[in-house]
Amino acid sequence: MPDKKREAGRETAAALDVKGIVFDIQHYAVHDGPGIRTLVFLKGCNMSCRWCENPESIELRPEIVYFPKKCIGDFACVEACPEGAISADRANERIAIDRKRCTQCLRCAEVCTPEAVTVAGKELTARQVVDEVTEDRVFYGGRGGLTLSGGEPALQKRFAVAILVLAKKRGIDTALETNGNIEKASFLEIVRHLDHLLIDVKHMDGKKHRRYTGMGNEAVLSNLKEAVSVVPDIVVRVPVIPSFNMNDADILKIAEYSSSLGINCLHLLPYHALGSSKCENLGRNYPFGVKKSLSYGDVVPFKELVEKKTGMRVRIGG
Amino acid sequence: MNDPIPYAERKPIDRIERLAAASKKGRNLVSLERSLLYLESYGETEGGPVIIRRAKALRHILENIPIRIDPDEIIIGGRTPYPKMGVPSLEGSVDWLMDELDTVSRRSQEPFSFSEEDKAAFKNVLYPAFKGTTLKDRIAGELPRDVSDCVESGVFALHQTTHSQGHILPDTEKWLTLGINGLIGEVEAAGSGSSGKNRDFYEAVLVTLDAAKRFILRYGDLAARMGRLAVREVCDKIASGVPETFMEAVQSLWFLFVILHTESIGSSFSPGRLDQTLYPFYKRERERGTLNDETALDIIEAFFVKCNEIVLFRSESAAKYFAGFPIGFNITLGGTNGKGENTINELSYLFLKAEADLGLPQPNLSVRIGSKTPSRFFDACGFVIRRGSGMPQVFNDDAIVPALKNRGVAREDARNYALIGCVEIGIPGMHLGLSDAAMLNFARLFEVSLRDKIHQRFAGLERTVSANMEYYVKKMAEGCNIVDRLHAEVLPTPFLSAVVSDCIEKGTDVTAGGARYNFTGPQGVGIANIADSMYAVKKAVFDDKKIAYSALLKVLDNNFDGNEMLRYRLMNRIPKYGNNIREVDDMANKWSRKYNREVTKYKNPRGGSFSPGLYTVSAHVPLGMNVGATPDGRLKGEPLADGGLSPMRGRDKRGPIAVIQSVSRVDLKNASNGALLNIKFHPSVFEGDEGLSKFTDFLRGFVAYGNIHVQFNVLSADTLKKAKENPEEYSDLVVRVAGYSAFFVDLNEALQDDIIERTEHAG
Repeated sequence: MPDKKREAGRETAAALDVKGIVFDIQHYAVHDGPGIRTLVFLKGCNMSCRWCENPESIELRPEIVYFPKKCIGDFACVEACPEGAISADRANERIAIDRKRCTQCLRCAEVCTPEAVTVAGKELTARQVVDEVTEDRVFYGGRGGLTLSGGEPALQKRFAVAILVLAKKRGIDTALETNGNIEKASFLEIVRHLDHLLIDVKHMDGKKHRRYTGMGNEAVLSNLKEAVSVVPDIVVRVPVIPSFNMNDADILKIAEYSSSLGINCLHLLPYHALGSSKCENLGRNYPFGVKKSLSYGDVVPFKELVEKKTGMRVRIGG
Repeated sequence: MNDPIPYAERKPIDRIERLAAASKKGRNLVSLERSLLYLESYGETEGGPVIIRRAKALRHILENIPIRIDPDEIIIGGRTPYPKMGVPSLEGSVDWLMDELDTVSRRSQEPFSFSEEDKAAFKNVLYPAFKGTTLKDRIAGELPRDVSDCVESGVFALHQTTHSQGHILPDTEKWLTLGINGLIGEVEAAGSGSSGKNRDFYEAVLVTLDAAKRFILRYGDLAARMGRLAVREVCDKIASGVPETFMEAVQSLWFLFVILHTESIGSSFSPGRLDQTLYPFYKRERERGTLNDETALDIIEAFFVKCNEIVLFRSESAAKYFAGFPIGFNITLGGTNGKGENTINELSYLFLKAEADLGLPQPNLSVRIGSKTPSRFFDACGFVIRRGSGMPQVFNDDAIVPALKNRGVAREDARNYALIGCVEIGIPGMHLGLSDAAMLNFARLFEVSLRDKIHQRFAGLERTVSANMEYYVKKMAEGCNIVDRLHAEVLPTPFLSAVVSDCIEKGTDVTAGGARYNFTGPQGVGIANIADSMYAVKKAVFDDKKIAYSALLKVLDNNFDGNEMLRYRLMNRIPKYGNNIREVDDMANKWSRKYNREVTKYKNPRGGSFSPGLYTVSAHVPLGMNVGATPDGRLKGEPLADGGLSPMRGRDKRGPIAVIQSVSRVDLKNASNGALLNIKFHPSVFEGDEGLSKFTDFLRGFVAYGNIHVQFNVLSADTLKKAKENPEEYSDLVVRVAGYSAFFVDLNEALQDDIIERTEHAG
């Protein structure tokens, strides 16, 4: 027993200094697990869903984001760039970034005080992350806590585990939002530190899943099965995407599979075109044809269907 | 979850809806009847003691002012025959109306139409008669040069200089339980054998009580002539006996407020804890089976509509300070009794339901919560708040009771506190707090200090700010005390004194120190601006040496013209108050503490002490106009931070939790006159039952952090439209767009439009 204790102590001490790339920490999140949550977004993703809402989270390393509306046409960035990758469009008070020449030295963001050019992604230690999370503790009301999100947080496995271990050590409730597409051993290593798992199941048809996300769904489905005996509370989340899975049969299949594993809570997330706006800022093309977001009402029929057929509790929105 | 408020789906009855709609439209006519009657009476009482002349003038008005009953009305009575008529307080001030004679009907903020005939009467009869005798004139004559210099320099403004006393919680309990005859008996007993000034006081109070009785009977007669005999009965009962039913109690209360407003033409006569005061009437009838909750709700809603019918007629500049006709019918719900036991009852919920139904600007609805408040009450508050009227506003017992104790208020009295006007804290029925006494502009004080000389060290600048705080607070206190004394000399309020303890016992008017608790409450405005600016100077000039002191002054003189990048550096690269960053929050702590310490040094002529507040209402806009560019990146003339405790808009980037945490570092335990924090939420935060319970968690966190006040501005589509046009001012707005919350201003136009459209539909 003392050995185990010592080992746990060592685990915690080692966890403190593990570093990772975080692209945002949102305080007072109310849609990502029980109670009030502090949402920590880790950078890097192994899927490339066409409708991705957080395209700035896909790349693992920090990258430059440009908000033209904040640009005051001072062009300090043009001078600061050692690669000559930024050119000034003086007439429109805008810049153009040649992403191919950019080496991510981030000097442009440093000089841009209006924060039109900023960096998505910042290196932090697990201790720094959990310290910031802990500040919100009084607001958790015995229910809320930390939710790790992304990106795919499992890609920074050591960092994710370190954060979760430290949080648990401080008595903070933990949740993870994941695409589930991780090798089994890593997945299990992470989820044993969780109170809640929010896992995406986007489609039951592996081929279609691959076509739209760049990855198959085999790992997702088997990990989900594994998780049932490990995590006390599991929510399956389905992004409802027009032309992909927005039909009775596809949604119902996901629900039935989840229900057969003994999971009784499903969230339907209506498609949102947020990614289109963000892609502009990242200098990327938005690869998805649908430009109009869905409303709550658009998804209600699926909620009713799933509730009727499976008896699951269904919520619209995360 | 069951609905947290009763009858969640029920709509108000037709006649209430008609009245509410009418009150939204209003008439906004200038009405001179009261002034003409006042003058007529003064002509007959020349040479008599002021307090008796005032009493007789009130009597003359109450006997002759035109009255009317709308056929739809359940609760009757008004200061003017039609709702929302502008009644000037000419005994307070005549100059502004003379100056604005032709513009008052055209001004953008709160216009009032003014007939040519009335204009002529004002110009030829009223103005010459009142000029020279008014409170304002008397103050101008007595204010020393150094105090008026401070006012002119824009460092502070003195308030309550143009009308008689308000900002008070009359003793509604006493009014209801003793009835007018009971009060008369009390005054007669206390006054027997008195002499001199005391005797004049008692005589004046008796004149007003008798007039009040007859005023109510006039309404009874009118009701009878209209065939509404039940209404007549109620009036007779209230005038001659004590109210017994819930209906009679509410009607009696409304008459009390109409008469108080007729006497004073002031603002903020606040009904206080009506869920407590009215409870015995409600309970008795419920037990007898003579009242059901739906009828009680109709009566409460009728009262709510009434609260919108008396408006304050302000000058153009004052209308800017207090935009939107606020007249401060503040009703407080929830809280505890004197022993600290929770007293939330059925009426608390019915009042919340009335607010949910009507969402009118008045009453200003406040709730008291604390660590022991039951969750259902939190849920009920959230349920009403998410409807978007900004009410109820929320007050924390756990912070306010200790703050009052710091001012020497007995624990039992402190636990019985209620809100006055906007957010001012008072003890019902025994307290005159002069709670809107003055406003000190922290940003202007900082600016004056910064320009005092080229400081070589940050500590030198701090010393100057300190010295200025001492000087200006001293001058402000001198000014407040002159205004205070002149209220007693020029505009005593004998009727009000009848319902404030211990005026009758002492034989002293409330304006002269008759109340048990006597405070003076000046507000400090712009704590965020002084904290952010001091910190920016410390960092940019002294720590990081990014810019020389003299160069910074020059940049500020030029309003950052040609130095935009520097302005953004000051704004974005130096920590700001409101983000839970200790170093800068400590500046807010330091200067609020200094302010509070200076203010509490002073005593007022009523034998009480000064009690500092930290709120602005809408004064952050005009006060900002007097301040040049500041080192927090604020441009010349831009508004200061809103509310009082709020961070500068757009500078808080870490969400509402960090705001609560930063605010908790301000010296709130001494802000005993009240404080104000605005937080903006997108409606999605409250979605569903779960949204409500998470909102409860948020409020419990607010309580635990010891904050005093918070009110929620639930974002409307209109606000988002403004944010789209002026992104810089709204850079802190967070909206929920999908599985992610984003800063609204960072989104592209199509998405912004999409969110605006959704918000419109959600509302």
